[in-house]
Amino acid sequence: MLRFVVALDAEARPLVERFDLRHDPLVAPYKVYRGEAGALIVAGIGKVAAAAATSYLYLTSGGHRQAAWLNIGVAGHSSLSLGDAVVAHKIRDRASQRSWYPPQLSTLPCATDEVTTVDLPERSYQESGAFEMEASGFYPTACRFASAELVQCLKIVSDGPQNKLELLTLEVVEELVEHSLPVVEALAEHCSELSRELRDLEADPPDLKQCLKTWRFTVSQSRELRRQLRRRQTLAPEEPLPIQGLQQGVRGKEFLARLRLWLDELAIR
Amino acid sequence: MISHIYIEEGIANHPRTQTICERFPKAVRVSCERYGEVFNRRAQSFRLQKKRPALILACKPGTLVQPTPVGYGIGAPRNYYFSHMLNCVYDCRYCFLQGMYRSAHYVVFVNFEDFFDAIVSTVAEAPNEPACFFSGYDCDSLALEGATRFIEQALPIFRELPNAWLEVRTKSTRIETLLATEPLPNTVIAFSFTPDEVSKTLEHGVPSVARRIAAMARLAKRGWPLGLRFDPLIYSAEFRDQYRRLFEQVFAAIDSTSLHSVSLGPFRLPAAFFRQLERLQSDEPLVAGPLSAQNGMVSYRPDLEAELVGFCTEELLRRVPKRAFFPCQLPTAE
Ligand code: SF4
Repeated sequence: MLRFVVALDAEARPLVERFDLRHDPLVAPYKVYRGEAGALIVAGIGKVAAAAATSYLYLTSGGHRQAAWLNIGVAGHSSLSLGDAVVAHKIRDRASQRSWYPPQLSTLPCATDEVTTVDLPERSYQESGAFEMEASGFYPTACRFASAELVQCLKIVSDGPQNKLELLTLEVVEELVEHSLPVVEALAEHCSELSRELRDLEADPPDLKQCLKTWRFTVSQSRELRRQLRRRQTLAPEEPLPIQGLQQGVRGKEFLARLRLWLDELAIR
Repeated sequence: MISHIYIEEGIANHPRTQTICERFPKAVRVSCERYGEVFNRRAQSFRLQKKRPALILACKPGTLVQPTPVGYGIGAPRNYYFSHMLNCVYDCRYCFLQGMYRSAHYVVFVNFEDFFDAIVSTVAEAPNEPACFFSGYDCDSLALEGATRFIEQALPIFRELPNAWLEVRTKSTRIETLLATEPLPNTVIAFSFTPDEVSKTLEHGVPSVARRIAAMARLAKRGWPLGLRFDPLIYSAEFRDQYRRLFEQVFAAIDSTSLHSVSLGPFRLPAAFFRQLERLQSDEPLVAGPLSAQNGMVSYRPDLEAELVGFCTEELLRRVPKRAFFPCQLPTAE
């Protein structure tokens, strides 16, 4: 379950094609593309636009908390060559001087680097690292919707001291993203794997929905039910639930007590 | 392998920062203002980070030596702990660190001298009353010694403090520093054990029981006082056979003259930590076990806990004198 946030159509096009996404005509304020792999939003330029679009995509894509969020885009860099890709290990917002540190858990086919988000295009390239305009809006917003390990920024070098920003065209941007697709795919695969792992950890245990439908539970009893059904998944996944003689409509409390007792006995065998 | 090292700006030029970084020449160095910007932020997953934790080098301000909770000790009237490091290279499924922190990165506080000063002044508060200092409360004391050299530098301090004890609690077999050092009579190298079967399933990445026993035997030969920590005790239907075998294995390898202390403690976690454990490893049989919550703690059902503790106590007291035996009721990381 991938969520791509990009600033420009030119950045979106290669991703839309590679991840087999289709334009969603029902969404008006943004261009959004969807497919089996996930969804992509074209946010527009700047950190505020990136933050707003990230929230919008979350709300219009089922609100899944285990989705992986990727901000892909071009950036200036003081020393790397045109087309080099970097994953942000630190995102610094130049205006507020705040910093964030996306956890780096895999070996990717590209380096990691500091990414500075600027409010106006960077032309001096005097500091080290990459310069762009969205990451500090995207990252903290996406971290509200997902665990930080699933939120990453990948920047592809499009300009620098030897390649002036003024000469950058949308065609070149598209080409640069296209050229970096293997790195994007590797990052997407890694994040998807983590996302699957979290989903498995947080998945509803078997029979939860059925039990909630059959008996009445308070909120805290529902939590306890979930916990006990998870125990059952570990201790006796094949065994049927101990429901003989229990009528539909009895209080969930009775069922819970019976379930707990049954599992406690299984646990000491 | 450490791929990224986050370094607090304030200690970037600390000589120890340099030395530690040199041990990981391929790691990317990232500067941060405070370690809290990277460690234990909201929305982090301990389980995911455990796949490849980063190293964070920081300076620990404030109180560096804390009194241990009541009931925690190995014979001294005053007991303290300190944490020069947070988190552990191993991955024991019962470890309370995963309930305590949202982050699995390793934090090393490089201001060792401040820890040593705090220890010296704590001893000086009551110079005639022995004080014991526990390392390995929030980490394994030896597992990262190759990089930090904390114990190597702590030993000369304790050599000058005959009325203070140091407990180095570990599951590591990285004992080179200790073998190379003249043993201190006031430093106990305490190894934690669970039975082989339990260790294989719950102590991921930890040296095998046999290797730990072999390391202990070498230290005993070198003359180091040793501790045995059967903590946490883990229940299973076969616990009697498992623990009897473990005790036989351990006591066959070391002779009682090397033994300073033996302690045991049942599996116990604060309820909030346990809930976190449930979230992180819901498929772990330990978590699905016969546990119950009482007074804010989760532990084995009282009847089972009594059986487990009773059996192990009896078995141990057949092998060690009562004065060297310290049952404990509190959770520790190591
Ligand atoms: S129990 Fe000890 S050895 Fe195991 S992970 Fe925790 S600190 Fe490390």
